[in-house]
Order: sequence, then structure tokens, then C-alpha cells
Amino acid sequence: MNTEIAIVGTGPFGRAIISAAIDAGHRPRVWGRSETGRQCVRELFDDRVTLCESLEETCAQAGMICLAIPASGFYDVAMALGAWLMPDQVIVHGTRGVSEGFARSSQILRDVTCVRQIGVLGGVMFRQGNHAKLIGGMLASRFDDVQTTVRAMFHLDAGRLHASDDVIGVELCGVMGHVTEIALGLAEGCALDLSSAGVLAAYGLADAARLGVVLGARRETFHGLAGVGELLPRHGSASGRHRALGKQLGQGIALEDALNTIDGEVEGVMTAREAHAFARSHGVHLPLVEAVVLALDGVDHMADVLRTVLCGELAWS
Amino acid sequence: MRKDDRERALSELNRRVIGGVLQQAESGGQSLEEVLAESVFYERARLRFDLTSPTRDHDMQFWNRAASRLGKAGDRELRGLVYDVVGHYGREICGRFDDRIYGMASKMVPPALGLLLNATSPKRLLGRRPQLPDFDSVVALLGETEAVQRLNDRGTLLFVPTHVSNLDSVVLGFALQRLGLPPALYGAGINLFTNPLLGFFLRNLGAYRVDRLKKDPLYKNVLKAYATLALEYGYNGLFFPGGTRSRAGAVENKLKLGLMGTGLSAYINNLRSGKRLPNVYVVPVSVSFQLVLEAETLIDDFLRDVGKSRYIISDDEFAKPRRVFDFLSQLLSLNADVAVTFGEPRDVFGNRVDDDGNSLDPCGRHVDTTRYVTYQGDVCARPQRDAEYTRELGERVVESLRRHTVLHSTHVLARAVFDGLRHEIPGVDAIRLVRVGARDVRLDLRDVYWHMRKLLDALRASAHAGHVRLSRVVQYASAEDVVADGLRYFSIYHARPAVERRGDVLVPTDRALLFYYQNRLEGYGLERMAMRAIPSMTDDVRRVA
Repeated sequence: MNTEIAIVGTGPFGRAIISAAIDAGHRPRVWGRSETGRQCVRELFDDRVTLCESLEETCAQAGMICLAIPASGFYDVAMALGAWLMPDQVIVHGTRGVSEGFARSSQILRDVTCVRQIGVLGGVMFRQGNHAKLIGGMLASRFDDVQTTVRAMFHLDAGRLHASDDVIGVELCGVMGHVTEIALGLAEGCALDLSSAGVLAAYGLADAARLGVVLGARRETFHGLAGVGELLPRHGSASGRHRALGKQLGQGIALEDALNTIDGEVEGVMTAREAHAFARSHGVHLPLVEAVVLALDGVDHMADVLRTVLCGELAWS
Repeated sequence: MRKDDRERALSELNRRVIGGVLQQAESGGQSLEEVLAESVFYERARLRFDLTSPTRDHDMQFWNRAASRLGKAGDRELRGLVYDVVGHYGREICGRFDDRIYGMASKMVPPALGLLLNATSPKRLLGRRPQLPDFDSVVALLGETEAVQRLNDRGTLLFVPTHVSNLDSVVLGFALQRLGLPPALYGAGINLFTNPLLGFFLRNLGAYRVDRLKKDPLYKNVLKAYATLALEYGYNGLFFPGGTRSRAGAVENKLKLGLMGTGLSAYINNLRSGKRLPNVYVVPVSVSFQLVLEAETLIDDFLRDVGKSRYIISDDEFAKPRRVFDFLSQLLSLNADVAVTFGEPRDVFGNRVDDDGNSLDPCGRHVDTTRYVTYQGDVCARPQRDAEYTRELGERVVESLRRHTVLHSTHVLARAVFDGLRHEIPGVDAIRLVRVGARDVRLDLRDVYWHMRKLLDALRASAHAGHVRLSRVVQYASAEDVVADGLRYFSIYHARPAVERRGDVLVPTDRALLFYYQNRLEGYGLERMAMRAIPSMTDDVRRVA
């Protein structure tokens, strides 16, 4: 088996993956666009990684490629990879956003490359910070060989990667989790109580589940580690880009101004808009997503909007 | 399969299937005794109720003897028994075959079909010299015909058509002959071999027998191994991926993937044995009739027990030669088209292929497909991985069958009238609407025209985007003409027309048939449009009035 690992992305998630690969005894090949990220990898992992100069050099010979990049750059990276990828390579990604047309990242990989053995890391919990560590989560793939390959490539300190074959479900849990996190921030910004925020989180899950079922996901996935498991830390944590954005929107600050105060990409903004458009075109009602889109559009009286959501039916199908 | 290949195949079948069973037993799976006990159990259970099987006595003897041997068999005897059972199944599936008859039958297909399609009755056939029809005016060959012809020289073809009627295989046989392709081997239900009309063609064009009443897993293994071997020997294959005729009339959306996976297995085996042309190309084919010979029986079966319909129907219209003759002659009298559309050929992984048969990725770059089936440096079969590849191929096939289905005026008229029915009797689901009947409904012709215009707009937009194909009438005629054309066809064949015109109203006379024909439009995203349009339809018309 080709045990060469390529990791694309040097942000906190990328670094957690690098660390898990090193702990499993590998020397991953790493590439990242940001010089700050590359410098950080150099300092943290020194000669335990091979820092490459190009995407091709990183990935062409790898048995497994792990993409830890934001949704905004995903399509371009996938297109570039498509030029030299081979069908026996395995690709996993942990991207939590969508591209135009509500295109999921695994779908993009399928649409622009020849690779079929695709996996999605979801519900992934990793300790933030410079010494980011992968703790556990879900690995979704339709291929058993992907499950085996990925498990052999990573060592997790305290936890495990749980297997699922519901690629769409696990992917959507992560993607829609960001939208729910914005809603939780909105609740905070509108000074709703903590219990109401908890109920809003349930509406967020229900929205994600309904959308998922339309796309072919299983409803149970949203009730498990990838769905509820992912949401619990988001609900408990007051930090996070999406939470911060929601809070400011709830306080009446305009989207652009709010985004200017936040470092890094807030993928939930595009996700909310794309999910809303997609749902409308498929006749699916997503009350919480609609509320978030209203907030992004600068609608006043967000507290009333959220209360309307809370009074609506909590429908899972 | 030719005689020499047949002998070779039987011996290879034994080697493969028995090898698989032994390997499974050695690796802690089912023991030989368990495998054989299962075979005896399933076959004896089948023979208890399968009273019409022509080989019942012979089978009964065989399985009684097997049961008695099984009780006292040692290891050596068990192996012998597995050998006998696999041989028994293998011989039944391969059937008898004669090279000379094969050659003759291949030449006979077009004129024989001519007689079949031109005869108004057997009497007329005998009474005067039959006029052979111009086939091109009856069966329209559409789609990727040239690509299919080219690929026939670059690998083995596996045709996967839609299935609404037993006439499909006759029409497909003609279509392949017309394209200059050799007949494709296919697994025909064993009940069809007893049909006097079709039996001759089936036996002599190399069809192998599939007994769908046999539930023994070992039988299914032998069947798959035979289908795989035939592809490996270079025989083009054909099987209906829906498994059986569509009972509801809709285009297949769930496929039986077992036999489709034989393409991938054959490809892997070809690579391993170093075949010069290892590729297998999968060709989806949509066959579209204006009217369906067995429509009444099929929809009746569907409605009698939705979701649990009989898998085999042996007493339908196809078993009545007179009915077949009447059906075909009436279709011909209206110059009906039978559209056979060949979809884009794919490799066994679902990738598109270029003119030379090379696989392409979604962006049109060449793909080395051997690496899909390479594991730790070796080309090998991996059941879970291969099942997943086949599932993805199935998705591409479903998409293609839907895209290349030709919708006729009968389908569109049935949808318009059925939508009208739903509007008149709201709050009742489609099945109840058909079953219960409720009160008589008469639809104002102006309302139907109005709705037909909406439907045609949506269908033409869909066809323009490449999501479906439309017959010439549906594509170009006015709503009024499409309605008239549909009514004309409905009036010619079925015992009771699905819908008929009485003055300025349309009366749905057979709701089950309407349901059957309108189901062909399922899956094209027209549902929401139709239901939204209907409530405002009458009001609109009234306003104009």
C-alpha cells in the first residue's frame, strides 16, 4: 500500500491532521497557500514533515490526500488536482462550506476528478491553537478501503474516528452547523435566554436534516455524532467566527462591518444563502436558515424573527 | 454461445463457482454441507409450487437424489455433489445451441420481424403474400449509434435497456441487426421459452435461461459467473437492469445491480488474463412505444398489490399471438414510431469514453482505468469496492435512460387528463384515485387544452435542456393536435380506451391505464408544476370566457 500522505492546508485543522499523521509514524508532504501557515508548520513540525512548493509535488505520488482548506478555494484546488490524480488515490476532506449552487466539496471532487475513493471528516473535534490535536469524529465514505486507509494514517490521542457510509449526511452536518452557529450568535446578540438558544439549535438540526433527506442523506446521521455531537460544543462555546458574526448581526451591526472585525473565512455566510436558494428551488421550508439569511440581509427586529421561528413547528421531515 | 465456447464455459463455470464455494468454506464461511443443504431446501420448496415447469420431473429426481446423497456424504462426496449441482445449473442456463441454426436465425431476424410487424392476422399471413414493411419507418434508431458501432471493435458491449414489454427484446434484436452488430446474449426468463412466438428467436440467437423462481444463492452465483464468462469470451451482452417489465409504466429508477456488476468482473478478469481488448462498454438503451402491448396486465398487477407485484407474469397479452398481431398491425396502420435510443456508452465505472474507447474523467481527460481496480499493486476484485463502482455506474445508467426516453402523445395526454382528475377529486392519493374510482368525471376540453399547453411548455424546455426526448408530435404540434393524436392511439388497441372524447368533454374511461401511461412522465420534475397550474386553470378559462 502507498503510505505517502499529502496534506493540503496549514490552518488549525490542517495542523491537527499533520500532527495525527506524524503521531502515526508518517512523514506527510504538506502544502499551504498562506506563508504564515507554512511558517507555523515549519516551526511546529520542523523536519518531521516535507513542506512542498507546489500542489503537484505534494499530491502526485501520495496514496492518500487530505484537504484541510476552506470552501472558497476548494473548487480551484480540486480542478488543479484533477490534472494529475489517479483513480487508486484516496482523498479525504474536512471542508465545512459549500460552493456556488450549494455544491458540496465531495461532489466537487467527484465532478472534476477521476477519483472515487472519497472520504469526509465530519463532527471532527480538535483542540484549537498552535498545538492543534485531532481528538475524534466521523469518517464518512462509501468505500471500506477508505476507512481502512485513513485509520492507518492517523493516530488520535483520545478518541477515534467513527465510520459512516452517509457521505452527504456527515458533510451536511458540518456545513449546516456553521449556519446554526450564526443563529446561536444571533440569539446572544438579541439577548434571548440560553434555553431559547438551545431550542434554536434543534431547529438548525431539523433544517439540516430536511435538506439532507432531499439530497439523499439519512435522517439518523443528524441525530448522531456528526449532527448533535458537532453542535454541542458550538452551543457551549462563546468564541468562534460564526458565533461572533451572529452576535454582531443580532446587535444590529451591518454584515460588512461585522465581517471586517473577524479574522479568517466565515463560510456560513455563503452556506446560508446557498442553502436558502437551494431549499426554495426544491420546495423545502427551512425556518432557521431563512432567519439567518434575513439577518445577513440586515433585517431589523431579529429578536421577533427568532421568536417566530421558535413558535413554528419543529419538523424533521 | 457457440458450441466450443459453451463447453469451455461449462468447465470454467465449474472451476470458478466451485473454487469460490471451497474458498469460502476454508475461510470459515458457509461449509459445503450448508451450501448444499440450502440448495436442496430452496429447490424442493420451489418445485412444490412450480407445477408448470417443463423440467419438473427431472429436477425433482435430481434434488431427491441430492438430498439422499447429502445425508451420508463425506468430504469427498460433498465436493462431488457441489460439482453436480453447479453442472446441473450450468447446463440449464447455457441451454442447447447450434451454430448452423444460429447463422440462419441471424439472417432471418429482419424478414421474420417484417412478417411479425406487418401481419394483421395469421390468416392474412397465410392467405396472401405479405408485404414486408420498410423497417426504418417503424423502428427509429436514435442517439449514439455510431459510437456504439465503433466501440464494438474496441471491446465488448453490454446493453442495458428500459423494459416495458416483452416486445422490447424483439425490437432490440432488430435494432442491433440494423446497426450491423452481432446479436447480444441475454438472460431471458425461462417462461418466455415456452412462448411459441418468441421461443424460436430466443433459443437460436443465444439467449440463456434465467429461472427467476430459483432462489438458491448458488444458482445466482452460477448465473452471474455465466454472464461474466460470456462477456469475457467477447459476446456482447444485454440485460434489463430493472429486472422485470416496469409494472407502473415509469422509467426505471432502481436497478438490479447484480448482473450489471458482471461487466466490471469481466473487465477485471480480462485484465488479469492479459486480453488484447479488455474493455467492456455499458450502453443504456431506451425503448419507447406509443402504446404498450401488456399495459392492462402490468398496471393491474401493480395496483393489485403495490410494491409486491408478481415477478413473473405468464398469462399476459404477450402469450396470445393474435393479440400481438392485432397490436402491431394497429400500430403500423397509424405509422407509429418505436423509438430505440442508444445512450452515451460508458466504461464499467460510469466514465464517458471517447471515440477510441478510452475512458475520460468528468473534465475530458484520459483516465487509466486499470488503477480503479488496483489494490496494493495488483489488479484484483474487491467485492465492496466493486459493488460501489457498480452502484455509481447504475446512477449514470438511470440518468441516461431517463434522458433518452421518448415521450409520446399518449403519455402526455394521460398526464394532462390525470392531473385534471386529481383536480376534480382533490385530497385523494393517486392509487386511491385509480382504485376507488369515485364519481364520474368529465373534463372540459378547453381546460385540458389549457393544461396541455402548460405541460408542453415545460416538456419542451426540459427537452431543450437535454433532460428528455419528445416524439415529433409532442415536440412540434399544437396542444389541440397532441390531444387528438393521443386520443387516436388510445382508441385503437386497448379493450377500453384510457380516455375518450364525447363532444366537448373528455371522459377518463380507464383510470388504471391513464395512470400507467402518465407514469412515464414521473421523475422529470413536472409534479409541482402540474399541481400548481391546475387550480388556476378553470378560473383562467372562465375569465377569458
